[in-house]
Amino acid sequence: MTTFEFTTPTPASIRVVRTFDAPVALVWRAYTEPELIKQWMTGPPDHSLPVCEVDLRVGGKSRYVWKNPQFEMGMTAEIKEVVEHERIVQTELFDGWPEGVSTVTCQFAETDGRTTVTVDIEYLNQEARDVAMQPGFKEGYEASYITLDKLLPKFASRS
Amino acid sequence: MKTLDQTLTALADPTRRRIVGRLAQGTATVSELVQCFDLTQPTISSHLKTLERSGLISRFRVAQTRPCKLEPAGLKALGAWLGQLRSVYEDNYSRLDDLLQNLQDPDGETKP
Repeated sequence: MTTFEFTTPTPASIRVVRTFDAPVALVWRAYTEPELIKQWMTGPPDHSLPVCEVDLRVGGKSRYVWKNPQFEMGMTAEIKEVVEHERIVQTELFDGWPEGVSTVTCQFAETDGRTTVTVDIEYLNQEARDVAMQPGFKEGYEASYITLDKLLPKFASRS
Repeated sequence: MKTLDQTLTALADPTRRRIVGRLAQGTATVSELVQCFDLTQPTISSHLKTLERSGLISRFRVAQTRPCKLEPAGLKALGAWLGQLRSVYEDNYSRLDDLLQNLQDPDGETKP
């Protein structure tokens, strides 16, 4: 049995949680070794991942290119934090989409031989983060806190 | 995609998210938003322009004021994109299940 969660905890973040029937050491390899990554992280149907280079250390840059017969999409990631079998934090920048820069935190946790992977994607830029850290901001934000989970169904049903 | 980029950029700013949160509860004028957030009128107006360009909000006219309201279309584009992203993760993870199984039992029969 597997669990899959896809939620939007805030309007600019996405969380994906999934449990795999394998120990963390193996899931970690599948996430960090290019020859393994190429076998599963191929994206939408009919796509492949011909380019996958991973430099697994803080400051290291990784490069991914997905392809289908008509289309090619590249992404460069810079690793900010890496704790073996626990956590990888990286910024991800897709070619031609500078506004879409995101910080992706990938956490691994093993229980009874099964591994839960939690991926948090945050579309917050540094400027927005700085504003959010100012005193008094948190209270104001929480007072009008909304999530896409709440907003989207409301608007989807209306039209 | 253009609109989606603008929608995500618009929502990446916490003040604009608060404005969207406020408008989710009903329409508001600029002066109501100024009071609500304790920011200057030019700051609020600048955020409203960004939100309007992104398609998340629109403005209409009532007598001398131009209240703002949320626009369903902007959020629908975002919803469609989130749906695509979700299915990419589901597909990837389904393949990862198979890969992990093969790695653990390389001589075993591959599941269909």
